[in-house]
Order: sequence, then structure tokens, then C-alpha cells
Amino acid sequence: MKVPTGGGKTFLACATLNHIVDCLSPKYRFVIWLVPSDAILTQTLANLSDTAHPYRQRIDNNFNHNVAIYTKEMLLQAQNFSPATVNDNLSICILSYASLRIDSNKKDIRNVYKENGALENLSQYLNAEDFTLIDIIRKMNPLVIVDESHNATSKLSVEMLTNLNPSFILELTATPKIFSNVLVEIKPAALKAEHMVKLPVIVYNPHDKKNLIDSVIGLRNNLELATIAEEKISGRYIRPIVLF
Amino acid sequence: MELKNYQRAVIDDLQRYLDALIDTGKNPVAAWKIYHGKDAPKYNDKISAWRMSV
Repeated sequence: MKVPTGGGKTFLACATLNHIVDCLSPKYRFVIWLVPSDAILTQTLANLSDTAHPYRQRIDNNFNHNVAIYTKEMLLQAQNFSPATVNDNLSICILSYASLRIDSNKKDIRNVYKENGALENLSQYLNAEDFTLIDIIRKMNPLVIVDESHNATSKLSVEMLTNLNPSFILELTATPKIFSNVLVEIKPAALKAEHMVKLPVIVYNPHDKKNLIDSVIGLRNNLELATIAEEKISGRYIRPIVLF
Repeated sequence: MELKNYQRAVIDDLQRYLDALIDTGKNPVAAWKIYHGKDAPKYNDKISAWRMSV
């Protein structure tokens, strides 16, 4: 899906999950939600874990509140990750691309591919070949959401995705690579028509790059404080964003 | 938070593709043809061939 920046990609992904699950009827409603950076991972995890957040509310409504959110660490420790939970819930695991790329030298990253006694129960239930998290994931044929998927086009990234044994992959990006087969494209004009692009536009030309970045981040943070205050009054959620 | 009109349209399109996928026995290339009304683009590299199944 090609969606312009600010077009609500994450909310769209949340709203599509039930359509995909209903259509494909997978044995396990298991979602791997891949993000390109730790910053986006933290933000996505916070939003999807917050039952008051519109993203989570959308998913909760579509899955009768039978939703479990996991980090890589929770999976590795089998924290609330059992045959019962994977059968009863829509399980969403939020992971960074880096946590699954096989060539990583980081020790904690390799844990996904290591034998892990904490996973024995689930491994046996799924008839997995070994007690590794990657094998458990593969056994459940996950639905994979790839956020900012233009960052996941290298040979290594494709191997990573293939290695998950996915039942379906939904890619979300504003800037798909030229070889991508775009299923749906939203034009920026559609956002403008829905008043998603707001005026005023302020243009100026500072000379120092660092000051510029500090300035816009400060402006964004101030706007966020204003929008949080606005949400408390009107209940209307607004997310200020900075584009570089 | 409600879906915007263009977001509803995206979900409708996705649903149309999913329906085609089921109708074709989960054959992504055939589903693509039904969905777009034309053959899927043909690329030479393996990445694109695999991505066709996305």
C-alpha cells in the first residue's frame, strides 16, 4: 500500500487486520509487525499497548478485545505466550527489522535463533523442530505487517521475510521501490480533500543545520503539548509530525 | 477515531484483492490479474518474483 506521509498508515494497518484474518482464516491469528527503527518500535509499542489509544481501540473492537501485544523480550521469556494465548487472541509481536536479520552481530538479536527452554511448551504444542523463537513463529504462518517497507528491500531483508514463513505480507510505505507491485495507492490530493494537510505553511531559511533541527523538534514538541491539551478537552486525537 | 473516506476506499480495495485471492485458491498472480484487470508486471529479479506473492 502506498500511503503518503501523514496519511494514517498505522491506523490503516490496524483497520485491515480483521479483513485479512477473516479472509485467510489462519489457524493462528499471529501478527509480526515489523518496524525499521527502535524509535518507531517504541512509539508503535506504546500506541498498540494503550487500550485508550485509537489504534488499539480499532483492533480491540474488531477482535472483541482478545488482543495480546508482545515485544521480542516477552516472546523470548514466554511471558503470557502459551498455547492458550495464541489460540485465544490476536497476537501482535512488534519487532524491528534488525531483530530478525540473521547476519546481525548483536548477541541479544541472535537469541531469536537460539534454543530457549522457556519456549519448550509452545514448541511442543506446535510440533516445532526445535525450541527457538524463529521456529515457533514459522510454525504459526504469521501475517506480517512491514511498516516503512521501502527500508526492507535488500536481499537480506527479503530472506528475513521469507524465513518467517508468512501467510500474508502487508507492506506500508509512502515511497515504494520501483519494482514493488503496489496494490493500493493513495494520492496526496485525497489527504488534502479530507483536510489532513493543514495551513498555515511557514517558510524560512536558517543557515545552521543543527539549529534548524533543534528548532523544528522543539516546535513539534510544543505542538504535541498543545494537542494533548486539546484531546483532553475535545477528545480529538491529533499527532504533530516533522518531515525531514 | 473514524476512518477517512480514502482509508475506507483502501480497505475496500484490499478486500477486493483478498476476495480475488480466495477465488483463485490463494494464487497471488492470478488474484492480481483479477484485481487489476491486467497481468502483473513481470520483473526479472527474484525479489520481485517473490514480492508478487505479497
